[in-house]
Amino acid sequence: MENKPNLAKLIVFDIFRIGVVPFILLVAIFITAMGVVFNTHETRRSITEKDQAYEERERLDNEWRNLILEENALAEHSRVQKMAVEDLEMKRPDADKEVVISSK
Amino acid sequence: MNTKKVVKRAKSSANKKPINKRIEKKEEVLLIPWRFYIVIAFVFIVFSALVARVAYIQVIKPDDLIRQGDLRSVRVKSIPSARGIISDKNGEQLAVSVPVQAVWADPVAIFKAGGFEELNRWYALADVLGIKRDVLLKKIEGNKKRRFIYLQRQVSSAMANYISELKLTGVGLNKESRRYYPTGEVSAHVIGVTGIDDHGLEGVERSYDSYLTGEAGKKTIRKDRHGRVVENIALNERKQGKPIQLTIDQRLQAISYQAIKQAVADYRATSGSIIILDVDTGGVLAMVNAPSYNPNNKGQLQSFKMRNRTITDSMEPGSTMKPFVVLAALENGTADYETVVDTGNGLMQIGGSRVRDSSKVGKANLATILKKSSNIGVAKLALDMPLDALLGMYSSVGFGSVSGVDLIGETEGLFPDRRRWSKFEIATLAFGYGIAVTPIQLAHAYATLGSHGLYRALHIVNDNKFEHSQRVMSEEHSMRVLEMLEGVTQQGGTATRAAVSGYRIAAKTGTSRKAIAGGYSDEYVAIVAGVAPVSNPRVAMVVVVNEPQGDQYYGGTVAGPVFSDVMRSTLQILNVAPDAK
Repeated sequence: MENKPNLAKLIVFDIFRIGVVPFILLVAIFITAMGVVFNTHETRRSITEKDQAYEERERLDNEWRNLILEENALAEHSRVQKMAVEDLEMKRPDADKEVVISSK
Repeated sequence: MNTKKVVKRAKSSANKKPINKRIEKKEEVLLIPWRFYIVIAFVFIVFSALVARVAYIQVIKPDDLIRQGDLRSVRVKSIPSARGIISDKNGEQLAVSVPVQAVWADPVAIFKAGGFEELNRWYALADVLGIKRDVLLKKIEGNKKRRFIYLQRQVSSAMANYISELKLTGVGLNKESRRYYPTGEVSAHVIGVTGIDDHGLEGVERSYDSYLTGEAGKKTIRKDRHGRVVENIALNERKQGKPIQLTIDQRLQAISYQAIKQAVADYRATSGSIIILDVDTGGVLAMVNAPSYNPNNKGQLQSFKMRNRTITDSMEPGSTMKPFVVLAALENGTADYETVVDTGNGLMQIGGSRVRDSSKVGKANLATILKKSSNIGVAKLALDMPLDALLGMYSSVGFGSVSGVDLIGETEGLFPDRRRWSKFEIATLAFGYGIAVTPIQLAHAYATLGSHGLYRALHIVNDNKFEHSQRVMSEEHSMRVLEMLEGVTQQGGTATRAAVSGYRIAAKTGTSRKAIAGGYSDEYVAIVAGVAPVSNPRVAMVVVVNEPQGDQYYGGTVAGPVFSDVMRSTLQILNVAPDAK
């Protein structure tokens, strides 16, 4: 019985005796293969993210343009003037009521 | 398989027990070679058939499957580009493009899917588009054979969302872009409009169309089954339309438009125009006409409203030409500041015609001639100098040539070019008849006067500034003439109503009868042109009221108050300090 060889031990021994290079290559292949998978996944995720960012930019640009219109409609000169004159009872000062302060 | 097992068992039993002949015989019976080879041959045939098929698919003819695969995953998306924003001098937007949607229908697909089965949804579509229900259905039915009709263009995103939620087969949305003009009719003439295809038809939109227009991009992508983009295959970058900044000041536009619209209504005039120029740069600050139109409403575009009269309509400038006669006389040396012209009793006979003054002036110096707007005075000045000097002065301040603003439809007016001149024709030329100018040319001439003789080409786009300026008259002469013109707005002048309290205003009125076939009509054009403030001119302004009705038709009484009103606001908005004592 004591002579019975341990198979697992022999395999490990063999690998280290004659199969070091193929074994390292095997491991390397596994690592790179997983790497490729991981990388592809990451790339796709990033591309999706970028695409979503583009879409967000489009949406924000659209919103911005609509906000410009809104701002301009609200700040329209004749509207502001009308509000100033009618609601706030403001008026343009005449020249004789103007006081010019010189900065020097 | 069975044979193999049996063989193995036979072998192992053979090892333990002595070889038995009978068993050996049995072994030979168990392995029938030809069967074995046939099985192996089949395995190989099947295997090589698979390999051949794979090779065929992968190497020899992969295109069809690649195409099928792409059909299911590759999408080409267009990247829309927006037309450039037009903004005024202070960055206020005057024209903005907003993405909108076009609603289209495919009648063939609609009827294939059962026509108007779910009538409620179709009614909802008609309601949201603002089309009458039966009109919409008739439109689709009438085009039964067609694959594409527009139901409505330029629909806002909110409405487009609603329509896509209706989930009607055969109704789709297309991205397009719509141009909005927040300032509406105020700046319509300067900016112009774009057509349905997003190209400029008028104004700046037309002149700078290629600069404003972008180019849509295109990207080819691969999507997975969840609709996420997993691969970017190709990308054509879009070119965004470039923005343009104008020299226009929207605040001045607004007050000018308000004033001229009011004046046109008050005097029941055919039309009116105001143009304001920046004397120092040659930029156009304001350019308005009444009547105007709403560029956001494409239904009401009529050519008489759309014309930018400040550049397209020429008129005889009348007395507003007189300062340039005086300048020509000073430049030519035929008159100086002490010259006194005898205008007699207000009537002068030249050949068979008469020149008349509206008020007797008697013996007058140059300042008085301008102040009282004496026709005889300028006629005598014009007749005393060589004709070339007068025409040279006129053309050197810009009459007879385009102003440089680069807007569509600009005319050069009518600059007389003939060999033989009668004395009367020269006299009429002096008080502004026999020559036709556009309001912008007149303003340009006054701006040249205001910049003390430096002629600059005008511009309306901010970075198109021409640094180059040309001296066309001496600095001293132009300053003195400006001071003379200041007298016109003071007590006893013809343009007292154009004055602005607190400021020194140089202005000249003009009233000219409109020429019609065979002579002059009873219609008038009332003009005031001026520069302010005199001590350091900043703006030149021209107000034109065309064909005012009623008793009032003089430039001073019709256009004068408008000039005063707009000039006062302009100087205040531009923060010009009052220069009058």
